Amino acid sequence: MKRGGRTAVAAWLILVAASGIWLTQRLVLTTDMSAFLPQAATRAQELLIGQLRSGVASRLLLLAVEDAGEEVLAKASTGLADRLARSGQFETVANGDAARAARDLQQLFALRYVLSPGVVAERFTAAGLHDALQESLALLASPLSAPFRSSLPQDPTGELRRLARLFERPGGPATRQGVWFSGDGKRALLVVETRAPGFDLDAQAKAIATIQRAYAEVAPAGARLRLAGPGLAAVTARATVERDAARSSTIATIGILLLLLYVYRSPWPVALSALPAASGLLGGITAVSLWFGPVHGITMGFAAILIGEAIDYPTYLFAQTGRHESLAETLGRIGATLRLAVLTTSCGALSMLLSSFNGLAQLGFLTIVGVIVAGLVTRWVLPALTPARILERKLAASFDWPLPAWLGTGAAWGSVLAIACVALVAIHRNDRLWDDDLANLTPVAGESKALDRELRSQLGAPDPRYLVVLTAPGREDVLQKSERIARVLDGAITSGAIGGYELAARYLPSEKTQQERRAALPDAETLATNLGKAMTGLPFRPGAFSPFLAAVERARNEPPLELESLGGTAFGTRINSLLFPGSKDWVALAPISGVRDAAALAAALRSSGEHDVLLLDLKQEADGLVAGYRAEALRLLMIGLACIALLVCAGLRSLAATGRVLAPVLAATLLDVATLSMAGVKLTLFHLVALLLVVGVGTNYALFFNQPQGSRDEHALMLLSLAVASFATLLSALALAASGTPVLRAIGVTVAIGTVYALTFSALLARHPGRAASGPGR
Amino acid sequence: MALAAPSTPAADLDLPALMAMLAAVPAAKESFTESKRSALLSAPLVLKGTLVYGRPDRLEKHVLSPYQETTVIAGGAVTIENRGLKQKRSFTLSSSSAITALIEGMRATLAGDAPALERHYRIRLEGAPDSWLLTLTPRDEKLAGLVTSIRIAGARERLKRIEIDEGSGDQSVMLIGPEAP
Repeated sequence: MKRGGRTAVAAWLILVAASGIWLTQRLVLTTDMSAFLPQAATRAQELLIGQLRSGVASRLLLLAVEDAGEEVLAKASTGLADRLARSGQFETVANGDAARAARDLQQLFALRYVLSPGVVAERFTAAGLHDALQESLALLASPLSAPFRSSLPQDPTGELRRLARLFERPGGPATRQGVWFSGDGKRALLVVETRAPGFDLDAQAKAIATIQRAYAEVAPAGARLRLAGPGLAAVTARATVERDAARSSTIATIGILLLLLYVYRSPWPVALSALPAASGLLGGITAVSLWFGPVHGITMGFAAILIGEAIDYPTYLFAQTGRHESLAETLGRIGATLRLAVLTTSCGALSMLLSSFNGLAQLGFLTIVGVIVAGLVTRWVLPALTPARILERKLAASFDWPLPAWLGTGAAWGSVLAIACVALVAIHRNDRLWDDDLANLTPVAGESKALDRELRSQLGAPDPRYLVVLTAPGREDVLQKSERIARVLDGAITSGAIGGYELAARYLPSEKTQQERRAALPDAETLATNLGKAMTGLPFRPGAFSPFLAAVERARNEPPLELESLGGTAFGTRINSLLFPGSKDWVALAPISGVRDAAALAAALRSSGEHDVLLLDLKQEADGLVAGYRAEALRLLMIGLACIALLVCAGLRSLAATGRVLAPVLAATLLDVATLSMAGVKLTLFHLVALLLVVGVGTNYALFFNQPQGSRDEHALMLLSLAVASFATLLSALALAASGTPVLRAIGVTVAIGTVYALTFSALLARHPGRAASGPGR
Repeated sequence: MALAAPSTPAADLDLPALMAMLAAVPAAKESFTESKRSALLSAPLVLKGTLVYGRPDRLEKHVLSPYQETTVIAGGAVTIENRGLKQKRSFTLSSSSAITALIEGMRATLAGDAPALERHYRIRLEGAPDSWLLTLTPRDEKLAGLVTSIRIAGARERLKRIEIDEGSGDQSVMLIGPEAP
């Protein structure tokens, strides 16, 4: 081992050890998918991202117990709800159980004179109270009103009943056996809201495990639990991707090992081949962790694919080493090309650093560091560690690239350019090239999406799609605005445009409204007189309603209801998710359920004349967001390509050579996109990332095809290295393409197609010893 | 309030026989007088009105005095309309098991539907076909908190008197038929 080699190996070992120690001690992995969302450009998008990350809709899990008799299901529902409520992991657990709802109402009973919209001055005059008492009399007489009987002495004006009706879920599920059921009575339904935000996948997974454990304790024979919701979808998606990715990479690893063993006929070069890519990944993750802090799981996944190119580096070195050549001599021949291959990939990734998306920037940084480390390890560490003789048993490279003899340079150029033009036209003519549906970025099977929709409609759960957003300078302002908008929304319910809505002001009226309600309550003496008059002619016992007099007097003297005094109750947490301070002002959200006519709702909101009222269609915003993301990624891809072109031009110092390198890559990329779109595939972000890899490996193929030619043997060795490298890439791409996960399949198919095209076009345009010898038009 | 004990235990009546008699009635319309005692009231509240029954699951209670209120139970739907207060409220029967049980106490009796009755109540039957007494004790805990017992007295296929004891101590006695005062 030479001195330089020893230094390189020592430096490499120190780097690997330091990275290893850093990662084991300090690596923080996050699973927050929203890192792959951009910095919000608009107010609506800011809210959208907030909602996607942690909004109520993102925290809802929908549960269904089915396949058993109605009574059995109802019992399981109650048992499950009790256990979940006790677990402490859920803000709310709702299964329609009247007792559960009654407990919630009990909390509000003490606050009825502040909360009930029925509290107006006329209600507490002698005439108003007389009506109320007549109503009470009818209630007293009707056995059906027994549940409200006990509150009559304290609440003869029926504010509790009014609140109960207010909080009923309009368009909600049918109730059987005291709990929620689907319309056909075959499913008991529950809705829970996790404490953990939707983006915290680990916490969501824990909540789901809690549900499954609790269900196992109450599970009736033969019945089954079905779950849906954004948290479940994300957790399942992560698990599926991890499982499929692990399976694909195992298959690919075995395939590549067998391939390399076949080529090198010795285990040592095979083992050494893994070092550059592994070191690169290790170094890259460490660098991202040092620079950005928490590393995104998905960044690592993508980066592992992009760094996959680095697996080719040792192949280029080992496969091109001649029979009596040292690795140092080989590097002397191919070093410049290898350096250019590393630099072009880093350069392509450099553009991603400019991205406003934290996830993409991380991905770019990881790729740059990873590829450079892998290049350095190949250049300096491998020669020091590899004894020349272990490559001696390598497969004899005796084949030439099979190029049709009739295909001259001009014809080859002509056909490649023609193909590129046709592809460009095909792409241009396809107006449905991109898939901007955010939902399609999550690898959830269509079946679970359908279940989610079904349960959501059966439950009347807030559609995660529509949201009215109100903003105002202060909390009081936004609450007053909410109360005005509530009247508009009530109108929309009456007209049938929407099914219902949620609003924080229901649970926390504005101080103005509280003040008005308190002012509507007469003083003790007046109320007693009014009540006395109201009781004339009715058979109530004198003094029967003294608890009422006391309650009103108490309500008159109570300090205004603050959010703080609702803390810890189901309503307090509900309010917090619907009312919060934004960056500049206060925000109130009104999730709308059962939207039947969004246009009518929008028109009603517009004609209310209120400012800063926004009807947010989350789906539309999300689609817009994805389109923006894609546009930026595409722009970065273009900048990356331009950088690569400049670099290749500078490295090769020849326009013709630059053309021979870039033309096949561009043609391959275009034809790849055209092929996918003609096969009916709509492109997503994942296809773009895959195209980046195609550009990376394609450039390498073209660079090696065009490296300064030596002997025919050297040319044959170069062809061998390209055959091995491309076959290895194809193997891993096909393993991904065979996966059941749409995301992985998208990447695999794109890379597989692109690799074949890039290799073919590079070969067609390459300078060729045979061709050079015989000359064009032989 | 004790009901007059059946005087002739000679011709005993069993539940299937009573249910069969009741089930043979397709429809009925009777006037009623209901007297309600409550801790909130200084004197019993007396309601007068009409009861209408249509086989198998329609029940109407029209209160005509001292106020006007109509309760219609048809299948699973309940509508209560108070004309004086201009209030109308509808709900689905299945939305509360306690209320369902309460209604079935009367409706299943009228329909002669023993299984429905058994589902919600423990049943005791005394007396002879001409004078029988059916005592229903709720099985459901929630209902038991609201209603402790329902006693229905009748002669052959006709209901004569319904007594409901509520958990709160309130009690109502309903007399049915032309002889109701």
